[in-house]
Amino acid sequence: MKLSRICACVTLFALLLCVCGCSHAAKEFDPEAFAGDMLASGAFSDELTKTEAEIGCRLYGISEDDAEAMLFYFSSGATAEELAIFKTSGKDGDADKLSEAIKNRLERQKSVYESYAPAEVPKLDKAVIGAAGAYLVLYVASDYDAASKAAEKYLDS
Amino acid sequence: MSVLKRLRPQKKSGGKRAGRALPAAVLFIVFCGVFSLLSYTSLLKPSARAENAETEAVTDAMPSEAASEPSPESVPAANDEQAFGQPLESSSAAEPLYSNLQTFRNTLIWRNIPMLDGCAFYPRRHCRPASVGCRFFSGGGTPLPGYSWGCEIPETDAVGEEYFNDAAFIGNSLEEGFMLYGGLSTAAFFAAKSITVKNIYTEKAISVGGEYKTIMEALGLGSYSKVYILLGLNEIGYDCQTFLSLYSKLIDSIRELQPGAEIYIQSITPVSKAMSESGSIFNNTAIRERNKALAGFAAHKKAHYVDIYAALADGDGNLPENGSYDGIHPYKKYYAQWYEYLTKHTVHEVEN
Repeated sequence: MKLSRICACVTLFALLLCVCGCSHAAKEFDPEAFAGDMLASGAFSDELTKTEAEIGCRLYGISEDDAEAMLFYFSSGATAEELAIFKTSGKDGDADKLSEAIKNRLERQKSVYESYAPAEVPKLDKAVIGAAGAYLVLYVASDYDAASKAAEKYLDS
Repeated sequence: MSVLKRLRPQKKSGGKRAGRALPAAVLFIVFCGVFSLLSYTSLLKPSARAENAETEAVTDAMPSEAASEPSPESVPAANDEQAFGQPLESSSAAEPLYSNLQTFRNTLIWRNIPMLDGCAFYPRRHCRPASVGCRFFSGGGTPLPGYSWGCEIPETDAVGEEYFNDAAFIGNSLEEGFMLYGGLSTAAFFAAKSITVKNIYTEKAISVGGEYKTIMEALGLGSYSKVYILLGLNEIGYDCQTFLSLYSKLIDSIRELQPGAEIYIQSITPVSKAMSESGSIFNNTAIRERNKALAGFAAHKKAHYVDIYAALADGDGNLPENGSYDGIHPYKKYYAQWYEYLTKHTVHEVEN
């Protein structure tokens, strides 16, 4: 009897651990997986290609030290579509600085595309800046329904 | 009296003579003027005669003041350009100077007859004669005895990425694409969308230390021995003369900022067949025509002309149909081809 109670408690405890572990894993943001799902979702009409962080930083007007990690996917240049993922370092003000850089990037893109390719401006108007734990995400898509469907399981609501 | 009468000019017949002589004189003057004009147009160009003989139509249209439509197709003859890859000095001492038409076209006289087709007064042909004592080598050190300014750069062994450590690339969205996807991480890039020969001085498009500067301001912050330029597609609707005039000022500005740098004028890139045939000003006929002018312009400005059009075009002279989203901006793999082309077409001047 005592043994069976002990076994039941151990089993329950193990189950609880599993549940906690699984839920924690579900919340952990994987930037590569997120990018992969977004690119495969059909949200982007142009070919987005992963670019060196140094070049991405140049286009965003930031330095590589401003974030712990970054991923950039830019278009061929024909469209304003892009995907950027930043992992904030956790230092005070870093998240705000990155948010500001992302917004500035969007504003600059709008001013360029107003004359360069006006049809792209609505995509920039609908651009999404999301958060997932320590990560900040920007995507400028062609199909925002597909994009949000792919992104919802990753981003904080 | 009768003698005087005989000597005195007969007014009637003199008047008739004058009456006949005047229109004849006018006709003669008009004929001379027309002949002079024609002697500078394509109708009398040896190249036109040679190309017509090969059933290729060549026209050098006089562009309008504000041309928005391209001039008719003018296909550069490969033989024509190849002939002008030869140095002014005959490679063979025994070769007569005017033994054939191609040799004649290599002479200083023909090379420097100005081109009155609206593309300013630049040497008619590519390949400005090399200055005495001026020698050219590839980036890998291979001598290029047949090369001169504006000529097609001969293909040599590819150089390594380090060759571009002291290079700056400036230009428009296509140059920006090369920055993103060319795979060249060691060079400096100052390029952005919608940059033209006009706004390159004013558009604050380059982030330097978090502050946005113009391309020329950014270029002036460093020291480079090579400056590659890619401009012209956004200006395809400009009048040719205006475009080259502005380009000339740009070259001069670059030389002020980077006095020792060699200038490489990259050709305008091709567009897809669909784009080219859509009626848009972005068509390969106009682009090739403009590139011809750029090559001659490069010769005039003692710059190198890099034919990246050839690197990106398919066998029909178009950007491959599945090679871009919009028919203009190539996908990533074509930038790799562009980079490979640059590594195999390098040249620099070594003065004796």
